[in-house]
Amino acid sequence: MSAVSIANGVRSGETSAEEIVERYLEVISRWEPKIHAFLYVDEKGALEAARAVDALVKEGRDPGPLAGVPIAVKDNIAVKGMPLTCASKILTGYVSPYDATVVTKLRQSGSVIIGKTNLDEFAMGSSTEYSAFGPTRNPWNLDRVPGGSSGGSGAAVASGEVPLALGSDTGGSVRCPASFTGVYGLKPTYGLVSRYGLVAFANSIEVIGGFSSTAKDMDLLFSVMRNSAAPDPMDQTTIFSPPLAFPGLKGLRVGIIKETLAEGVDHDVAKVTYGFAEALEEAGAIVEEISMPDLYLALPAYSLPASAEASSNLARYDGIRYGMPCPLDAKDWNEAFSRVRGEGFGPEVKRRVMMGSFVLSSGYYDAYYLKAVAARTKIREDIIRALKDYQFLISPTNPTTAPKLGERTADPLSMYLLDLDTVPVNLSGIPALSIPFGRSSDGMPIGVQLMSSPLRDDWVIKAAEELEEMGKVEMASVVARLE
Amino acid sequence: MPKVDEELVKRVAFLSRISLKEDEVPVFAAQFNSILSYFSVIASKDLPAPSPTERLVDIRNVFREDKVCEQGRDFTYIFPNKEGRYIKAPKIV
Repeated sequence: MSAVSIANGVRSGETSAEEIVERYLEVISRWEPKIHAFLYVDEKGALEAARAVDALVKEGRDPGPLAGVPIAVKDNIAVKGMPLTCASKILTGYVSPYDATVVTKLRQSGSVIIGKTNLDEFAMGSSTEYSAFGPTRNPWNLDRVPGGSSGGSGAAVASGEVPLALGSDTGGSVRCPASFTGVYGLKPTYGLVSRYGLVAFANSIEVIGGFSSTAKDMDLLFSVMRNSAAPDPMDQTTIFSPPLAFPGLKGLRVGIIKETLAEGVDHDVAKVTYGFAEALEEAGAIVEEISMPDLYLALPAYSLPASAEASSNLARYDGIRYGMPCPLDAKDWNEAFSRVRGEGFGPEVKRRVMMGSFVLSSGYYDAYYLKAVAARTKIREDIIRALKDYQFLISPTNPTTAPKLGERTADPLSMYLLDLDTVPVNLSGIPALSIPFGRSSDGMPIGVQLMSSPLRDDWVIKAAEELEEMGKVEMASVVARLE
Repeated sequence: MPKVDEELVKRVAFLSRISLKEDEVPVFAAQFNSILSYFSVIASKDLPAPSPTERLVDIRNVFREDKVCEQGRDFTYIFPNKEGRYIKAPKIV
């Protein structure tokens, strides 16, 4: 069921939120042994929230635009009273004492928070295999990864366990799993959604985003998440904007980025991306090939500063104030911190924190960190300049379809390369939507990335809605494969 | 491009306050070399010195009234080592 139809049914009193939630809890219990999308399911809390929504409807009051819609939250976003693990052993035992701002907004909109989804530890990864609690599997093929780091949220929406989910996107962590699991994934304009309550990894580029199975559902979810009238006083990097009207695809100019379709890109991925360009043309848009010759700098321009920020942000995990306890028999603070962090962090988190300490240390700062942030400026300027001539840019979301489990974990660089087309978006702060637009010859979903200027989040969503209405986006069901 | 040897990995691990097992050290050294050799493309790129982008939104001070909110109340339950309302930490003197 779509979120739009659930909310309409519940608001009009046709269906009860309790029935809806019971139905989804049943789907979760059916698929979880196979896909492991969730780290925590709050059955009791979800049913109570649903009954509260039903009570409002009975009293003749409106519970809000997401009335009765079950939603899953990536487990690096704070939900009061639920464990917050970031899929890391170092947060063992931590239960959040507060709600993230987006979670508060979701609650006020009548939605029902059903649980927390799996991720790569601290959102560092592109496959969800770096979770300390075991990987999530791709519902389209259980031998494949769902992408990452928000792989649990992608798999949960793709398998029909929930109609909507939240994720976070630092270098592609919403768009990658959306593409690999065949759903929509939105990375909003930086700052337009409050990050208060999102556990920080690389806060200068990351955002909270959403997953849905239709563009209309994304529209509804985003209308609740965004700051429309004021910034969030709890997050000093937030901005706000009312929704912007979309003029329709006819006559708009679209740039297809040549470098993202060059050597090394799967044949099927390139084919689907060109097919997407044709669909836009059929809708009346003007598509032209454009070149961004410096785009190859994007991966280091992302990875090095992101690691530097991670090394600073993750310094707070010391085993003293929350999470895994530090050893009380340590001879000094250094030993106490080092032991708990050595035990509590998994391999990818250690790699990134150490890489960050390396690029920030004297002797390497100029050669790596400063070079990388200068390269970031170059990428950002190139993209913003292109968006002066073109209202949209398009590229594949990822250069390949979902890899097999275990295929890339031994070679971290091969994992980073999955993010090649998504990181430029984070570096420049623009909005991007991964649209499920086709499948490979072996049946795996392929996503295409639609990007636009800052604050034109509504444009990317509405453009997808227009294609959906034209029947251009194939809505395939994965449930038949799971049975 | 500097070669990352095991000594450098150990130094960076200390800076990061992460204790590594002996067998982790050569693995990380090899991985860092592979990653940094790919990233060396930025070292060889002649970039004009533009203002580096470190953040996308201008940060400004926001003042609001000081008030106790619900989430500011009892959070001592999250302390992993504690005695009453106090955090327990390793003895250092």
